[in-house]
Amino acid sequence: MRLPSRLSEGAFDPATELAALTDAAPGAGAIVSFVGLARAEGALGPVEQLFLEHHPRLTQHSLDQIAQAARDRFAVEVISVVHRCGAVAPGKPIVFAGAAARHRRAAFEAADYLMDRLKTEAMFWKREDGPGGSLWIEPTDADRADRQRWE
Amino acid sequence: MAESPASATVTVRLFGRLADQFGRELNLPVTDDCCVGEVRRGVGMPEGKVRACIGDNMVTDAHPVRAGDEVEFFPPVSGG
Repeated sequence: MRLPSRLSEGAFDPATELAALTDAAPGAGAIVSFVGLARAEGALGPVEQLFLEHHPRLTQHSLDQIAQAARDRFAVEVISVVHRCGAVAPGKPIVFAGAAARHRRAAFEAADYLMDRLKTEAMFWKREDGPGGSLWIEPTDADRADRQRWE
Repeated sequence: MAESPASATVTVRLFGRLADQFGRELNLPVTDDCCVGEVRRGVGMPEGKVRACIGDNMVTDAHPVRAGDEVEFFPPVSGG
């Protein structure tokens, strides 16, 4: 069973997404998932919200492309990507990336790959807002180095 | 009535920090042989890590632009 990648305008529950991933892969021997959470501290001090701007069409397309690339590259049964847009409060989930496979190596690698690609290529523009001001976030050198690992 | 060059414009849409800096949506006059690079300079954006998009396809600065086109400019993306 295939799970469509989802752009979520409201909050999502990682436990629900993990259950859906597990249910979608009855033959899997391994389920690996990652949840990214909004940080409470940024470069300008305390963060009141993380705002994720998206493109009306290309953001969903970028999620679809990245998920499909993981399906094509790794021996996985199911890939799950759920990504917030809009305002996310500190501590709340931004992204869920998961993989179900017969064996653990493919599941671990697919989840790792998904996150490295989402960090550098998913079409969002992230802004940290807080009492110290607002700051647009771009991928770090570490994010880019992580992405390069898969080339 | 034929359109005069003065009424030929493109719609420019900006995202992220570019929208903060230059506005969310602009109308820019263009000539017959305009290209994306000229639209970029017309907005006042410096050369750099900003990608251009027309019709949901990424384009280079050499890509031709005609009156009525919608040109989007994207600063570096960051997901996750």
